Amino acid sequence: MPTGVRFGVDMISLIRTPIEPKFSGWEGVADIDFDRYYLVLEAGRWSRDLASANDSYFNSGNFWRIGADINFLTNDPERNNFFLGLRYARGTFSEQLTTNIYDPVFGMSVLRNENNDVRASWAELTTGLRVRMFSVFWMGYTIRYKIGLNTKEPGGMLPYDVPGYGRTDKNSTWGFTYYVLFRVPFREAK
Amino acid sequence: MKNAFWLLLLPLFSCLDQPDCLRTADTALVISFRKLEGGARDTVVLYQVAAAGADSVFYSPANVPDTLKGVNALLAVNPFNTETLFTFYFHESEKELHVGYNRQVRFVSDECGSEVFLSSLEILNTTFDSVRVVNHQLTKSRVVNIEIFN
Repeated sequence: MPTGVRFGVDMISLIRTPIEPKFSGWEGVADIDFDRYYLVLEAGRWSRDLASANDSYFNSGNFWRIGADINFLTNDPERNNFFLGLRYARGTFSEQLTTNIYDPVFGMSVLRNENNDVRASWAELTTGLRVRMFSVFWMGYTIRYKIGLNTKEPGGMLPYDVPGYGRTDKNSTWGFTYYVLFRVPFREAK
Repeated sequence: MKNAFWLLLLPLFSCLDQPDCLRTADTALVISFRKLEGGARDTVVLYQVAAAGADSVFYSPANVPDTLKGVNALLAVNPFNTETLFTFYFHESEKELHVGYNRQVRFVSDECGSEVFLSSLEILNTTFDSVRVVNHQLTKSRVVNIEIFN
């Protein structure tokens, strides 16, 4: 039987949003324990606003992940976690790209492309820590190895950045989230 | 345990990677001329190659004034459209080659800009005797895309 549920928010996204003009987003997590196993739900949203000398790019979208972690610190009196886990992730996003292209033969023109309501899915291998700081407050991080990105865009523009996943130019990528969590206990652990 | 938590955090910030400015897309169409009988490479003399929508002709090399002589021709397709009509001017004739392709734009990064991918190359129409597409993607490797048999 579960002993409690933890809710958390990613501090990196919250800190980046006000100080980094190119990024806006948040991400949250909830997990519930089943002995040494944890059922994990994560959800979030991010947008990017980028510009180069001849291009402007904007995207925005939501994502969620579901998965499980295995805790390897089974004898820790504070019930701290060192875990390995898996996630299945889905997302929906839109993006726009406006680019000025100069061709030596055909001259200059402006191309405007957009992908709307693109669906994406991928998988993640995860590891990380959860440490009880005091009372019901916890901190922890998750390192993510993201693989198997699949997107269904209508064409005209190749996706650049998938919210929750990141840049699409590589077959795999890394992610990192740093959570502040609080735990709502159901009952005392044995 | 709490000390280990902070120590483990430190090296993670060095893992953030930077985008690569690798570009593979190209707008150059490589055409190879071959003999109709046997398929051997054929040397042709082109006086001019023109494309609809372009003000300039493509070739007037300095070493052979007003002509191009060789087995391959490198032509620029129109990146603002999904088809280009080429007219080849030979010594006593002219031929047309109308090609179509898919266009996809990819944003590389805010430092590197974007690039245009042209793929799914196909022959829409031609007045050449025999033409075939051997590579459907236009890339910087500049491999032969279309073979023309004369």
